[in-house]
Amino acid sequence: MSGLLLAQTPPTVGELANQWNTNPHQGGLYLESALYQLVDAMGSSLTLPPWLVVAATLLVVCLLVFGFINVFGLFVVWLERKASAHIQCRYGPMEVGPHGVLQTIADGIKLTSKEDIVPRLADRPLFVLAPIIVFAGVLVRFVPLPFGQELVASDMDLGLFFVAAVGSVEVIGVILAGWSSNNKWSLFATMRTATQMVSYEIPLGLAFVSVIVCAGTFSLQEIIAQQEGWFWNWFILKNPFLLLMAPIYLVASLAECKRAPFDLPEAESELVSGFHTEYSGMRFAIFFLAEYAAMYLVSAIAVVLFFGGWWTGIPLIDGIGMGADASAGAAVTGFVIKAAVMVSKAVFLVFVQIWVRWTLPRVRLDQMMFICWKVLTPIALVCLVGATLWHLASGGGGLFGIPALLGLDG
Amino acid sequence: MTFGQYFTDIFRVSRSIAIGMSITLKYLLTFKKNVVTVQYPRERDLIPPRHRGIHYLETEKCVMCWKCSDICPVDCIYIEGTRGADGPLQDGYRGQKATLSKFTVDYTVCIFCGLCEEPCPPKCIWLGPEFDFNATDRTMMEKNLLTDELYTQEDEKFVEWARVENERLVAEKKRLAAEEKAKAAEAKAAAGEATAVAEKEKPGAPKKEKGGLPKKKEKGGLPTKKAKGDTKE
Amino acid sequence: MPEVKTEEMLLNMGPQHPSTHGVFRVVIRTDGEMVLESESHIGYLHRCFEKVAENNNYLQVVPYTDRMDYLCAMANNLGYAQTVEKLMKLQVPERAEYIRVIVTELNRIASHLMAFGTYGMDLGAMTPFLYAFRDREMLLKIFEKLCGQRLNYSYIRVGGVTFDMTDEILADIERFCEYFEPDILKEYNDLLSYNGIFISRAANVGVLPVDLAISYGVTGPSLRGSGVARDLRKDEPSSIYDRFDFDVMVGSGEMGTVGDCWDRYMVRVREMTESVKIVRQAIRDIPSGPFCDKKAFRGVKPPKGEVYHKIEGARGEVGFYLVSDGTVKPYRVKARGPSFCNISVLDALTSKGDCMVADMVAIIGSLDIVMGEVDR
Repeated sequence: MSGLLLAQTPPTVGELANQWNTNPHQGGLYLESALYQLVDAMGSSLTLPPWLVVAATLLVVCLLVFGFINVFGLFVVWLERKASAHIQCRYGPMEVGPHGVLQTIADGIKLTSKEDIVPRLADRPLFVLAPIIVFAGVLVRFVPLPFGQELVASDMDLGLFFVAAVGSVEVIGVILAGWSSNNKWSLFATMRTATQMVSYEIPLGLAFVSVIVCAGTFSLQEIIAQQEGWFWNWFILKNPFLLLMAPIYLVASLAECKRAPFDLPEAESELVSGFHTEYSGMRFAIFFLAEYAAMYLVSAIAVVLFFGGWWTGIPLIDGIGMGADASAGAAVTGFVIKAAVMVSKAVFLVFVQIWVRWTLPRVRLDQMMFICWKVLTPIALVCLVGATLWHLASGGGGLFGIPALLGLDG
Repeated sequence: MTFGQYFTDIFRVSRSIAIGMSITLKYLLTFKKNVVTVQYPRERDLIPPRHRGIHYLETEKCVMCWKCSDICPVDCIYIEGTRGADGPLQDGYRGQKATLSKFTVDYTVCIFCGLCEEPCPPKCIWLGPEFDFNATDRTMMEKNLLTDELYTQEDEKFVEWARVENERLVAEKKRLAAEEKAKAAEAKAAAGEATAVAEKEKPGAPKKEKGGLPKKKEKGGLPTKKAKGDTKE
Repeated sequence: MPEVKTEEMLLNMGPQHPSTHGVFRVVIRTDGEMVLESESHIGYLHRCFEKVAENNNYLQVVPYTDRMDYLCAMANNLGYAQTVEKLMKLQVPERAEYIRVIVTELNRIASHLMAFGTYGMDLGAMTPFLYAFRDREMLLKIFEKLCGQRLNYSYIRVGGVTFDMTDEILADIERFCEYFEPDILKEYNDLLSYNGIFISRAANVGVLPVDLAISYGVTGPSLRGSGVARDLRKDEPSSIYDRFDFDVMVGSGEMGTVGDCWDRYMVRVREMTESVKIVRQAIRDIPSGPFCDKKAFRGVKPPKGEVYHKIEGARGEVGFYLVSDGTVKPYRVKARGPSFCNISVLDALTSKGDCMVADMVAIIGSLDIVMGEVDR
């Protein structure tokens, strides 16, 4: 895109629209191309400078992703409260709205109407900056995340690498939050959090690398595209070492999101609220939203890497709307099905995270480090080597590549 | 830690986690059967007859002997008035009906211990089944037992609904108990045992029906109180 | 390379804290996550029970004894009533004795359920807390049917009990025992006790050596967790406890060392089974007859003298030392709350140098203290 902007003659909107249609898997901006096509169709009577169109579409895409996070946050807070209540033989929210569906909206209104308290001795610039950094670290990671086929903000070549790299920014935000609170307990919690998040990026990264080795690409859309077909083409069933790697990834992702059993940062019974004790009102709401967005993100990445992305695993359903001769209605149906499948798989994994939280007690700090460095990392390393060798040997076919090895495939 | 111990530890921990998660999953899936919440104030639980809630007084029986006020550990009963004429000893106490001008219980102090029920010779003060007691001001937290006044109309409506609901729950419970007894009797008859087995009567455990609340005190009207309290001879 | 300077931190687990059971302040000196020294401050819940008891007569003191250990109020009532009866050499009717045993054991189950639930919650498992309260709710409903209150009963008084136990209530208790005993306890064990994470949090943590426990006067499940089989119901049985057949649960270092938090916790969970045993035996054997001494209920005037009597409460040895001067009001009532001695061992346990801040929460939870008893 920068090449275009620096070109001698500024490109027309039509040229911009065409450019991304030709090569969808190479740094394509799908939503934007759709928007460009819309602008183009509305008439070339619009003489908008291209940089404005680009900036406006980027903003719209950003707001769409942000909107999704908000809506998802509303839903998942309700889901967590209802699921935890049902596990505990009680009802959960029932007052606001039928079965409490509007409860989160009421909570949001309450949080925004609260007084904004910044402790007098707190470091004000850092105090204000910390939630923004944490939220930015999560929001930016949504950019390469697909929500369905061709429904992605920006399918980068290095999508997975980008997700792993930007995730480290969250740690800075958390440290700033604890430090600037001027509260010994918050500082305590922050140090624990920083240790935890930084340590658990290792098994997370190793999980990413093993899938990249088997897929051969960093791009998330490509990875999903390779899991087409029957459900045994999903990466979790392509390689026994990836079958072992998936639980490691899920456990490490629980720790990255600071969810139980790894919720030392917000250990309620020890430190009241951990690093966000001093935060109230909307600032706390930003931390809260960032946590739930991160939960969706790691679940969606797990779905993309291991559980087949938007494919249902049944070629009959997957084939709706695919192919060059599909009708418009079938294409739209297929598009909607894929988006629904992708999001519902991720929501199911989020539900599993909620279920685990309300069952297990908390691990202590040294036990958490033990699990990371002495259990997850060695096993992840072994799995990485094993996955690579198995992939080389079996050629990456479905069902652990055994049918291909035995010559049963076509 | 040996190699084998390492792996068996991992296995054991994973297995215990899986067992725990299966228990919570079971509760999640059988939620409708397991839920224990009573959606107060829309639903209520049955209030048992011995429940110690706010006080009621049968004013026409009170002889102003101050026994309840003396025994109260926190001194929350305030009585004023003129005593009736002293009379012969009857039913264990002297005196006739007093003219009370004030008989209040201060609920910011009362601990609902129930000690005031027993020493009363004519057994005219008792603790009732109501506990939905709220006020916006400390001065409103005193109940005037002479008039049984509740302070706001909404509270009165709620308490009336609560009484009706409690009576319904009591009736429901009796109906269920009768059904169960009938079923048990049928089962016994089917098994060929003797029917109509009398329940083992334990003397000293009288099966007096615990009464409900008195009717509202109208001007000059007498509340009708059913037998309240186990007979403590 | 210059030395990295580290400082010790002085933290205040203040009176308001989610996991100190009640208002209780601990000042911790930590080096990172390791606790070097801790200092506890109590007295936030002092309500002058002993002074109040000097100004009220023997019957009026009973509601105040309820509120000392409010989670096992029947035991406090029982201890006080038996103390006065010991001084008066008063014989309580048989039926009253059986009823007293039944309600005390039921209250012990309720108290241990609370301890189990809140311990899980302290360590992060929120769900067992709700399950424990669901079962505790059944017990509280039974108590409400029996005496009218759910928490502060004032049921056991000098001379007997206030209300009689009807057949309906006995049937309810039997139903509860059947519901509770094998199935629910097994579920609790599966969900929490044998959970790998819980074991790693509670085993080998806060090991209480026997000599330390005895020198500080620790009693109850905390002492039995260290391997000492001392239970006042067996060693010095008051009233009719010698007629019942039950075992004394003792910690044996099953998952770690003898006397660690897991042992103390497990003693409590297993004691619930034994309490159900006792309740079942009592229901089977309960005689008919009067349930109180009517004359004693009207007013009590013990002879001059002094007496000390102790019983096994849910947390340890509940003792009452009574000095009477022949009037209707006691001259002096001293209450020994077991949690006072249990909590005093906290500073010694955490100053050994192998305790982390997270372990402090585990230790306080496993000692199962109620501040009402500590401060009276």
